[in-house]
Amino acid sequence: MRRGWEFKSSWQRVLSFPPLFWVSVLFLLPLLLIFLCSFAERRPYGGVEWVLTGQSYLRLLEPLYAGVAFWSVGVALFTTGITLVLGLPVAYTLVLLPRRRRYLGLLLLMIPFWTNFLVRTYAWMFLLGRGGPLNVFLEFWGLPPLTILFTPGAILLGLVYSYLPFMVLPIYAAMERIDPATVEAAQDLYASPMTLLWRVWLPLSFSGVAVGSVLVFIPSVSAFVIPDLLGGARDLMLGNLIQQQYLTVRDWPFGSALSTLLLSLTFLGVLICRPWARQDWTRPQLLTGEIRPPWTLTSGPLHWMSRVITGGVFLFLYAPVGLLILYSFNASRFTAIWRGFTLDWYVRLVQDDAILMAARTSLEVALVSTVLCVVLGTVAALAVRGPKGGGVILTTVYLLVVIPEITLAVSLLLFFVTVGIPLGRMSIILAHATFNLPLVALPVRARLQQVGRSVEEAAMDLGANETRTLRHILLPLLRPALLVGTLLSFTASLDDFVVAYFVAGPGATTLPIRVYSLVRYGVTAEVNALSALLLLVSISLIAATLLWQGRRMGMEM
Amino acid sequence: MHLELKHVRKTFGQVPAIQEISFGVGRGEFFTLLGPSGSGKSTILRLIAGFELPDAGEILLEGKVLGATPPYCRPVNTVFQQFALFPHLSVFDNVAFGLRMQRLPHPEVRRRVEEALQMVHMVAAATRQPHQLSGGEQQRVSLARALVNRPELLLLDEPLGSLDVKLRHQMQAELKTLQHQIGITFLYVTHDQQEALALSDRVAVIDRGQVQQVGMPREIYECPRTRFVAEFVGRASFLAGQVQSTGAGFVEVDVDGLPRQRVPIRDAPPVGSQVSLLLRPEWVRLSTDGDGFPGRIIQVLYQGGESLCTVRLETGLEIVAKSPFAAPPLGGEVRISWDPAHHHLLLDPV
Repeated sequence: MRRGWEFKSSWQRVLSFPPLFWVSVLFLLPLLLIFLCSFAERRPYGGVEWVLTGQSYLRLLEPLYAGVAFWSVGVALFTTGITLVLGLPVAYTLVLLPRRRRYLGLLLLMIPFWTNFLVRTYAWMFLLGRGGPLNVFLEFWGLPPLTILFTPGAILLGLVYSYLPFMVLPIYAAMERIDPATVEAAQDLYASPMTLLWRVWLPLSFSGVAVGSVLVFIPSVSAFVIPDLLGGARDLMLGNLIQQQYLTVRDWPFGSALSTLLLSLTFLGVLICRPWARQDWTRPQLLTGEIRPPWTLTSGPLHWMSRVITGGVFLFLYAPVGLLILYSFNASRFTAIWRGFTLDWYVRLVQDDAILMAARTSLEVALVSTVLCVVLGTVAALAVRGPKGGGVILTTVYLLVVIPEITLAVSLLLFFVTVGIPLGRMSIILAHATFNLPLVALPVRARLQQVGRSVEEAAMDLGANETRTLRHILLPLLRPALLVGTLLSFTASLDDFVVAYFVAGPGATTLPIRVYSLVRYGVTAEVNALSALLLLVSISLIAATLLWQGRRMGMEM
Repeated sequence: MHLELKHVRKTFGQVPAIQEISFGVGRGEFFTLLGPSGSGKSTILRLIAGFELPDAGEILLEGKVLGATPPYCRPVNTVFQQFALFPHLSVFDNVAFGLRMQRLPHPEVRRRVEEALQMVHMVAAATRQPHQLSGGEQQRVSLARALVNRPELLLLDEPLGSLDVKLRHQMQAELKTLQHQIGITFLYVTHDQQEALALSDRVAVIDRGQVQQVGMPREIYECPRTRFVAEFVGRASFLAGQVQSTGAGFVEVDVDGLPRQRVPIRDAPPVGSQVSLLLRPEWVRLSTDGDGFPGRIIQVLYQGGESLCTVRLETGLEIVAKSPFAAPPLGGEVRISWDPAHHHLLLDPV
C-alpha cells in the first residue's frame, strides 16, 4: 500500500536521470557493443570490421576452444562444490556463536574478501613455489618437495581461497534469519539433531546456498588472474582466452564472442539458482540483540566437527597472507630460508620511482572515482524509490554485482576505443566509478529501507519541503551508509586489477598493474614487501570500516 | 464542517483502496475511523495529510479545497503509527523540528517546546535520544511533536497500536483529557473497537474502502446499520427471521421456533423480506426459573466479575448472554428472555 507521496519538486522528478544516463552509456551500451562486435570481423592488423558474420561463433565450436569452455565450467563447478562443503560448516559454526564472537568471526571472514585480490593470489605463488616456505619446511623434514604450483590443483586452491567468503556470507545471512522457534518446534516434534539439520536447518538456509553458489560460480568460471599466476601458462580458462584475444592476438570479434559466451554462462547460473534464491523464509520481525541458539545444537559431535572445519578454514585464509607479511622482513632475497630481520625491501620500495608513480596514479584514480561513485550511487539509491526509472536502476545495479569483471573490462575497453576516449587515468576513473556503483548504492539503499519512509513523511508533515527534508533528515541519517560506501569503493578502486589492466592503456600504470608485471617475473623479496604493504593498507581500511559499522549496529534504531 | 471529504476515491495499481468516501468532521470533535486492517482507514489519513493524492473527489479543510497542496503546506499534523521520531535528533530537537521549519525565533521555539513537553510530562527527557525512550515515552514525544505546531486538525494513525494493554488504557485516558483541554479536532484511526467507543464523539466504521456507518458510539453499538458493523463492534447474536406485518413504528418478525417478535423500527421493510435480529449479550436475561425460552449453557467465558455464556435453545439456536454471576454451571438448564424494545433489526439476512 505504501507508494510514497506524489509530490515531487523538480529535482526529485529528475533524480533518476543522472544514474540512468551514466549506466546506459558506461555499462549497458558497452555490453551491447560486445554483443554486436561478436558478430563482426577482425581486420588484418586488429581492429573491428563492422560486418555481420557468425565466424567467431563457429570458431567457438572448434575442439580447442570448446575444450577450454568445458574445462572452465568444470573447474568452476568443482570450486563451487568445494566452497559449499567448507562453507556450510563455517556458516553454521559462526551463526551459533555468541554475539560478540560472531561479529568477530564475520569480520575475520570479510577482511580477506576485501583485501587485494592479486596479492592474495601471489601469496600462494610464494607459499607453494619451489623455494617457498612450504617446500623449505618439507625439505627440512627430509620429505620430497610438493610441486603443486602450475597445476590445475593450484588453480582450484586459488579459486577456493579467493571465493570461499562469497559462499559463507550468504549462507550465514540465511541461517541468521532462521527463526529459533522453528528449530524448537522441530525438536518438540521428535526430530533428532541430525534430522533437524537435514530436514529443517539446511532447507531453511537453501536460499543462501543458491546465492552463494552463483556468487562463487561466476568469478570462478571467468577467472583470469588465478589460472594465469597459479596455473602457469598451461591450463587456460575462458578468462585467459579473452585476455589473449583482446590484448595479444587482437582478435576482438572472437574475444567478444568469448565474452558473450561467458555472459551467457553467468546468466544461466543465475537462472538456475534463482528459484531457490528467491525462497526466503524471513522471520516476520528480525530479532535484535542476543539470539540464544538451542543448546542441543551447540553440543554433540556434529557441532565439534563443524568447529574444527571452521578453525581449519580460518587458518587456511590467514596462513598464506601471514607468512607473506612475515617473510617480507626476511633478509634472504629469493628463498624462504630465514636469514634475519631486515627492512631493506621496504626501503627499496620507497626509492623505486616506478612504484611511487604507480602508487600516485592509484591514489588519484581512487580518490576521483570514489567521489564520482558516492555522488552517483547516492542519487541512484534515492532514485530507486521513485516511480520513474527506479526499477531499471535497481536491476542494473544488481547486474553490475553479478557480471564477470573481465566482461565488464573488455566491454569498457571496446567502448572507449570505439568512441575515441583515450585510454589512461580518465578511462580507469570512469570504469571504477561504474563498477563500484553497487558498493555505494546498495548500502545507501539498505539504510533508506531501514530508516523507512515515515520519518521523511513526518518531516514533511512538520513543514519541511523536499530540499530541507534531504538536508536535515535524510543526509544525517544516511551518513553511516555513505561512509561505508566511500571506504568500500575507495578500497575496491585501490585493489582493482582486472578492469584497470584492460582499460589503462600504456599511459597509466596503477599499483596493482605494477605488482602484476613484477609478479609475472617470479617471487622476490621486493614484491613480498610491496604485497605486505598493500595488504596492510586494505586490511586497515576495511577493518576500520567494518568495526565502525559493527559498533553502530548496536546503537540507533 | 471543519473537515469534509466529498466522494474521495483512491486506487493503488489495480486495487481500489478507497471506493468512494464522504464524511464531515466538526470543529473540536474527536472523530474516529474504525475498521479492520486493510480497510483503507490509514489511506484516508494519508490523503488528508497530503502524502497521497485522491484520484477523484475533494478534501476540504475550513471550506477550502486542499487539492494538490503538499504535506508541508497543510495546517495538519500527524502522529504516526510507529512514532517516526527522527533517530538522530534529541527529544527536544524532535519536538522543535516543525517550529524551526517555520523559522520561528529561538526563544519562542524554546518556550513552546518546553510547553509541549510539559503537556505530555516529558520535560525531564528533553536531552535524551529516541532510542533511549520506552514505547510509551516515544508515544508522548511524537504527540508533543505534532501538538507543538498547534495544528487545526490532528491526525492520529493507530497511535496506541504498538503499546501493551495496560499502557494503552492509560494513554487512552490521557489522550481524551488532552483533547478536551486544547480543544482541537482529532481524527483518530484504530482497529480497536473498544478504543473507538471509549474515546470518540463520533465514529465512522470503514470496511473495504467504504463508510459503513457514521454515528455516536452508542448508535454504532446499539443500532448498527449493517451486519458488518454489528459484528465488528462488540459481541452479538443474530436471529434469522421474516417480516410478517408492519405497523406504526414497528414490525412483526417470525423467528425460527420462537414466538412472533415485535421490533421497533423507523422505516419498516416490506412484508416478507428476510431480516435478522441483533441481540447484544447484555440485553439478554438469564434466569433459572420463570419465563423465557429454555436452553442449556454450552460455554462459559469468565470476564472477571461477569461471564459470557453461550446458550443453546431447544430449537438449536445459539445465543450469547452476559451473566452477572461469576460461574454459571456448564450444561445447566436456563431460561433466557429479553425486552422486546431492546433488540435491533438488521435489514440483511443472516
